[in-house]
Amino acid sequence: MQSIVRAFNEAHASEKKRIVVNFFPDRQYADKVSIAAASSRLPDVVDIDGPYVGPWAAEGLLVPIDAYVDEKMRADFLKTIIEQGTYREHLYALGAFDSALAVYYNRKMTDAVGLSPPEHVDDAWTWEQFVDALERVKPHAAVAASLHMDEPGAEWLTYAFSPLIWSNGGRLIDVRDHRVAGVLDSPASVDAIRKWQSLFKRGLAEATTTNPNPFAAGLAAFDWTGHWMVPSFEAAKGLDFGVMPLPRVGAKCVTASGSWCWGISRDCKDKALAWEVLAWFVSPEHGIRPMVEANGAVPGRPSAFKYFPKFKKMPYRLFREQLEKAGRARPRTAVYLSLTHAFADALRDISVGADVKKRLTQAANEVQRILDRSRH
Amino acid sequence: MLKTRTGEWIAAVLFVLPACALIGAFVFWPALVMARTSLHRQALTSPQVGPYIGGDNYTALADDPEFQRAAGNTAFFSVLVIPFQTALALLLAMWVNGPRWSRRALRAAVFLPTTMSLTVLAVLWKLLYEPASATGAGLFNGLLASTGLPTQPFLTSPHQAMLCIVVMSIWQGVGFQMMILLSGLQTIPPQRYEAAALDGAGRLRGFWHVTLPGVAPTMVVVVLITTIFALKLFVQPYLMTNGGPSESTISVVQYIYRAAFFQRDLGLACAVGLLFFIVVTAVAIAQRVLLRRAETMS
Repeated sequence: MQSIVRAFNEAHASEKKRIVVNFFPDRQYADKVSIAAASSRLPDVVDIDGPYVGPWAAEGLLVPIDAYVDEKMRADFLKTIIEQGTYREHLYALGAFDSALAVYYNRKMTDAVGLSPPEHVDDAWTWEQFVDALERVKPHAAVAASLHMDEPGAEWLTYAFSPLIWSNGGRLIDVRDHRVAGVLDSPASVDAIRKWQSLFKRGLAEATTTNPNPFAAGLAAFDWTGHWMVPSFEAAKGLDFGVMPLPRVGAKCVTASGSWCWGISRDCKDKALAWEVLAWFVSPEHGIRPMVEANGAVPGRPSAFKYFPKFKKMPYRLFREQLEKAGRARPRTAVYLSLTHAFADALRDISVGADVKKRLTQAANEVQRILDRSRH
Repeated sequence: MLKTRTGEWIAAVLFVLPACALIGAFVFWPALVMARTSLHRQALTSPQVGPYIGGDNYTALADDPEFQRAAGNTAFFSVLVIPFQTALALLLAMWVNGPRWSRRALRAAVFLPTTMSLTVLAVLWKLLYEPASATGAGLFNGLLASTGLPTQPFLTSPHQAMLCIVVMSIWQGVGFQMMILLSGLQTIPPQRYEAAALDGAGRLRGFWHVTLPGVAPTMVVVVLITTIFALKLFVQPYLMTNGGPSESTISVVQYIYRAAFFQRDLGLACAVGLLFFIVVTAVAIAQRVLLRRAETMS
């Protein structure tokens, strides 16, 4: 980030334009930005964790940037990046990179039972094929699938397992009609989450675990996780791993997306200049290239892939293919934070045996109450 | 004569002024702003004051099952922690009361957790409580398994999670209370025990008639501090269970945090904050009056 900013400052020194970086450290980043907003002291250009685009746009912290993005530029972003930055038909944020969620498998174990997992989104396994594969590898591993239930907080669970509901034709929230009750606990959602719960009931995954990376340790046959774990897999001695798309619960494979992105704040005095900075951060050459080299994520613009030949090969090829064909952004809504916490709390309880329908309905009603209150 | 009076008065006011100004600026003024905000619909990130909505935030609380659970959990936690921690602190204080180095070492050991960051301890205890699984287990479950006892879900069970937090909190806080009580114990003149012994009092009667009345004033302070600490429960559920499972450990202060930062509703958060402030103050005053009365009676 520092080098991207330095390059901008050097390139614009003659015009007397300068970026000053403010770091809000640690995991309370979003809380600190919210407090800065309450005292009208937001930075001109803000970094945003994808799911916060909804709340921050709804609260007026961000200003729309549609006017700056022409059709040609818009077409050169992954559709998941555009989707993530869009709130009520307006574009508020653009990201330099995106994340990828996939299923990794231990080749030694899958070969031992004669499995050949798919390599393309269109060939994604059905849920039944996935469960069957887990049953077959189970005797060869300490745990058939690692689902990272040890991750603290809410976002991992929402990020990782909403795609099951989406694949089954369900949704977390109806943002147009402001409905969560009857949506989060619709038959399609309940059915998808029941299938997910069966993994724990059948002993194919652990609802509680102490081990943050059983797959790298050779203990898990499959790992349902994000691209950020790949370096640890590559570094693991003796681990020969492959990657496959998420299994589909319904007719189509759907996968997660989303990461940090940039927006312009309402407290910004010179919006055009702020846009110049934002455009630099998401430009393939000046922003995406150095950033993705450093963080290993998926470039957010098709034209930036030319700097990364590794995206022609697995597992990176699948990351791109998934985002282009099956990626979906989390819902952009003012009540996203309540939604994600209620949903994740419900998933945690469901993983240790709570009744799916009852627990999802409880969560849905909780968020509906907050949503109704926020609209009066 | 009159002149010195006035001079003393001016000096007194000058001495008190800095404290009053600080308390005013950092306690009373925020409390007033909080009271005002609780009557408005106020979004977290809005610099302007939102529309006046009267008691709406308070009535919303009455219908909110999450708030009721938070209040119930906090009460449950306090009812367990206050008596057990105070009693344990007194027993420990009596045990470590003495000049021998072994007693002093023990004192230091019991006091040690108090000196450490609650945040660090909460994370460590979370690891200790980790459930048993095929890929690993927490220390407690490892011990249970190695002695052939059934392993426990601990923090992942809605029935055990709060009890686990109670145990951890007592362990963490008891040293501090013990130290205060120890200072109380050491103010009891040894002659009283000698007199009681001469009158034929055994250890138990000595405890009832000499020790307890002797530490009663200190006890008032200890119970008061423990109560306030207990009601302010936040770090442990925030870091160890995130309020779960099934909201069995969410506390009132955690609810305030969620209202402000998840629901983005500062008005609601302030309403709970004000209620909480009033309840804590009322409990503290009531306790003080009751315990003072008991003290003078004894």
